[in-house]
Amino acid sequence: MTRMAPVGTIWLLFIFIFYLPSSSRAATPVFEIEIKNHLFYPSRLEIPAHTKVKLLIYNRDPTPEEFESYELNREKVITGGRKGVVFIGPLAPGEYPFFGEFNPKTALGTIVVIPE
Amino acid sequence: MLLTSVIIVLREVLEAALMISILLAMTRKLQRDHRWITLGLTLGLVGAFLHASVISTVSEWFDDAGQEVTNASMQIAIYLLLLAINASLARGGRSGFWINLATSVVVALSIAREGFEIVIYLSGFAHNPENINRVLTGASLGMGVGFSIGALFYYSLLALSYRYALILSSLLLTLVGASMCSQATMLLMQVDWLPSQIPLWDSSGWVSENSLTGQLMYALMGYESTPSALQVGVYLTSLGIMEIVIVLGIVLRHRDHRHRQPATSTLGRGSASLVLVLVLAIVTAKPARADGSVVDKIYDPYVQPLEIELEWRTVYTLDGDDDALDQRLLHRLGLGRSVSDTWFVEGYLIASKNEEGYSDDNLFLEGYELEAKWQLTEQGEYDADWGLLFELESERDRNTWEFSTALLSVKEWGRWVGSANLFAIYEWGESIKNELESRISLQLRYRLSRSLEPALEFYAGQEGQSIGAVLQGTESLGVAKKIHWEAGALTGVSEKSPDVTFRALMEYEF
Repeated sequence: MTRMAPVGTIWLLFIFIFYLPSSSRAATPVFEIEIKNHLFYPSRLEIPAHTKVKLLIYNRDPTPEEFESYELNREKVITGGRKGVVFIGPLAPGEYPFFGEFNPKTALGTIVVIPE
Repeated sequence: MLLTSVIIVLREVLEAALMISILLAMTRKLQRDHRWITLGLTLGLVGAFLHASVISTVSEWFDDAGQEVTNASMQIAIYLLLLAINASLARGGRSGFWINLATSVVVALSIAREGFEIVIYLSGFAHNPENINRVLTGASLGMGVGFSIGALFYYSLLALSYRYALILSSLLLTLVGASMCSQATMLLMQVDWLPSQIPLWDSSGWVSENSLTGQLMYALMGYESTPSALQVGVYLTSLGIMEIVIVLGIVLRHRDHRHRQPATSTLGRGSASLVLVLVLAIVTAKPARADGSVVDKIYDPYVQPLEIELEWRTVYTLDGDDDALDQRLLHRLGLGRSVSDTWFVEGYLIASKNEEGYSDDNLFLEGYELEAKWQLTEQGEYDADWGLLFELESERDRNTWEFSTALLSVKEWGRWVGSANLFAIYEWGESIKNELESRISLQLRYRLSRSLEPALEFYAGQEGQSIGAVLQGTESLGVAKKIHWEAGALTGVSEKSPDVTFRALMEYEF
């Protein structure tokens, strides 16, 4: 039991830090992006600053695509003809590029975070 | 006025007091001559007044950058000396003229630096009899609080066991050293010797630099609520260099130890208790674990559909005092694929060398493992991302089994990512005692760039605790193919864990 105590304490501490409130529970705005012929539509998407946003990405191609962005820290494979959900934010104002991993030359886009 | 002077003086005193209390506790534990610290204190006080008396001349050096440059040089000198002190500690902490001198000079430099600012601040009120009393009262209060915190640190360190005290001292000195480098960077930015940058983040809403917590974190680890990228980079680099030096020191001590048995190193002196622990452990039929290292890898809770992954990961341990923990090597080779949007399965072959309980000196196939990962929430959907991991491991020869379930979680704070894995493990079989264990792995990672991300990791479980730095990165190899690598060195912070554990991982995704 004594052996478990320090581990348990650290864990509790960690949970505590995890659950420090970081964002409000207001309804999450939804934005849609389509993939057609290995291109993103729209390729430039404006979203509000400091807000969590839900991206619905519809893949209209029969082939899979991966929405990827190091700047947004997101990677999401969306199989052909399906839709994928990617939550991003809250983000500071600025431009965050993303691309399609499977067609990196053509499938390019930017999330533009505009100040309120 | 009173409160301002308390805070100003406390800020200066605290940093020096913490460092001196750590060095003093170390000196006591190593039974070194404490007169070297007294010498440093005296020299430092003389230096503080000397520094204050020539400050107007010094300020004009280097096109009016003299004050910042001298201050930054002193801080860099302190870092270099702490590097030497930590290296000698890692090599066994044998006393010697040069290391005593280094300790002395560190104390002198930090007092000369901080004391100088107090002298300058107080001398400003010398011709102001109205305020002098209040300022002096405030200054005494600040000093009192600073010294008390220092004393608290000193006695807490003394109360710890020999090994823990030295490990903690070494960790604290590492933090103080890195903080010196980050402060020096800021001073050099102030005089445009280094390029200025906008702050990387602002955490003043979380911990303000003016609060007592902020002050303490500033003194101990150089906390700043609005640091620039360069400062963060310098901080992490100096932490990394310090850790490399410590690991090298331990490796060298380990080599020395192998050349002349029995061990005579200082940490070896603490091994009397270690031997006792070991004897007790053997008598009470210590449970053998299939993979006797607490260090593994950190799992994230994410699953990508259509992904196939080839993975190799390995851990290697070194320990100067305990042969059972020394030169153990463990390889895992895995092949995995996702079976849906949320499930990923992987099978592993496990090979090991010098594993406890086996006399065999060769690498041999020890067992198999089957693993399934379940992504519970979308990335970014909630405050933290969650997943579950299930593992079933079988050891061929000894006919033992292990089943574990882990809760995987990840949280992002801007470019920082924190991960936690909490394991519940059940072991059963013929040659071991059936039992339930827990294990925890934590990681704090900074997303510097796709190809290089530094991270701190901490592992704790039945086999002890280890902490250290890891680097990782990902490279694209054409369409939808990538290589991910991780490499790190972790130091054991308990007697049960090896002095150093190296870990490496290579993943090929396609």
